Amino acid sequence: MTPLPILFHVDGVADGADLVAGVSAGSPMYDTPAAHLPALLVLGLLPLLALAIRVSAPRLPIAARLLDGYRARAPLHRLAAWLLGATALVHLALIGHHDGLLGALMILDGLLLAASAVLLLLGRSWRPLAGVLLLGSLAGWMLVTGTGRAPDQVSLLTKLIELAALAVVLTPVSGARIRGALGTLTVIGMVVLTSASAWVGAFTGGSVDHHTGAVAQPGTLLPQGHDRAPTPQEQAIADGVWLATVAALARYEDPAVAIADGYAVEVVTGLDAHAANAAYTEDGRVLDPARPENLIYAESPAGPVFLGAMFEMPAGAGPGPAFGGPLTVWHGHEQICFSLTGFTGLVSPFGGCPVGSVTIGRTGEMLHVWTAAGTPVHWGELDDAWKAAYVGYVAEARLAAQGDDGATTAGR
Amino acid sequence: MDTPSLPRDRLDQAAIARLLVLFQGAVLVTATAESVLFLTVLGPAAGPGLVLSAGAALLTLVTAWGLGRRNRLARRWTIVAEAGVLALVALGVVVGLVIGGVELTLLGLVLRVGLPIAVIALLRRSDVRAAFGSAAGARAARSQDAVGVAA
Repeated sequence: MTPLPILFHVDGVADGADLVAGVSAGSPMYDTPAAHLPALLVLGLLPLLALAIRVSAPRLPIAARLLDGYRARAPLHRLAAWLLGATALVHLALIGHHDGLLGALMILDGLLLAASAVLLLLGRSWRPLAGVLLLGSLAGWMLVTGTGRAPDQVSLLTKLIELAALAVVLTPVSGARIRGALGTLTVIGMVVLTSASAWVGAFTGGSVDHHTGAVAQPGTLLPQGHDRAPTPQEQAIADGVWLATVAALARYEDPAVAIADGYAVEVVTGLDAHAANAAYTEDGRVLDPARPENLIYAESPAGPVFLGAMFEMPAGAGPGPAFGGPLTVWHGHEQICFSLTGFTGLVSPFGGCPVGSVTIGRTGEMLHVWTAAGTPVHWGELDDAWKAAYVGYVAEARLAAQGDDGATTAGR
Repeated sequence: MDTPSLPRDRLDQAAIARLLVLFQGAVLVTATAESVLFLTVLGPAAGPGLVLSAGAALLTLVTAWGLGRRNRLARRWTIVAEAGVLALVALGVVVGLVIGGVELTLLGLVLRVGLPIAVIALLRRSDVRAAFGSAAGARAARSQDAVGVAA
């Protein structure tokens, strides 16, 4: 990768040995972790298991009964047998990945799901057992994820398989319309609840702050590795760059100046509206304190309140320079949804954006710098409560000043 | 109860397609609920996504109901819609490659690529096509919801 020009000039930066950040990682919700790959591999064993049953059927009576049972079943129930077998194998493949009660329950669940598949093939009553197991497995998973454990794609795939099997279980065997409608509503409800639990687990299991090694919330990429205290040199460099940035950006307290310089400050909503400058985004400069790619303003009754800026690496340029070590942790974004109207959301646990949006897999790296007077944080994430209090204070002061001006003018 | 002219398997292949489309509808209902949250957090930019997701969810669930009743129009519409889903995924991949890279998740592949292909393959089978094309098929579906196999 060709080094990019770093355009700030602070003593010591050029000597910094750790200018390139490490590899970033996103929310586990979008990942397929290596530790769970065995669960996917065993799914490939399922056809082999079916083949073994078929081959051994002439010699093994139980294999012959299973094969005959499979052939006698309707396609929808054959599908149910495959789905129950698949989720049973996944549960059993993950033995050893979960300890204690959860591990024991997973083994039991896997064995009973396999048993329900066998019952189905043998022509015995299978729906009650399968229904209870599937609902129990889904409810247990929701409980675990809902209490702050981020799910991954393998566990979500397993739940998808179970939801499909549940849909077959709930499909009425006769033309019972009310039961059919209830089954349909139950399936829709369980799909929505599964997704909601995944969101809750992914957000509560992730970190709001941008620290090295922290588990990212959905949509965010954070550098992997171990967090550590900054060295005195990193502290000095970070402070130097921050002071240079504060001085360079003071003029943007007035939004009109920002607009004149090409920042899109015309519409400011919320507490951290990012006003981009298209020219600076494409100028190839990195971390120039006088030309940040975005300014950050907050909405207030007295007009936009300037809070800071966001530096942005050019697309495809790689990690941002780690000039302040753990003090200046760059972040990226992944699995975000955009449409012609702008940013429309995050990719769902089921892998899709709202209809009409496209997925952006990964953005360039970004770094927030906060320049508001008295800010408790210089780099990274700033608490919304502090922002709200600061914006309220500034707005009140501005309105009071306007009132004084009005009174003075009237007095004259 | 199955009709002599329509073997049980014929109806059940269509029932699988109906179940898969129902599943897609459920995922779109989820997308609609998510869009409501995005709208409250992100503002008006997320509005069109909410309207489109809600419309797609409704249309998909109605189509699933139509497939259950062996409605010919529902079958045709489903094939067109699934082809549209695949085309949109392809377009999304192209746009994503241009503006920021593409990283389809495992479930994204299963639900947005695998599922539409499976539904199209099922509905284009000649025996399933015949089930949708006959009055007997529609009658059997209405009286039995197209499953007709006791546990």
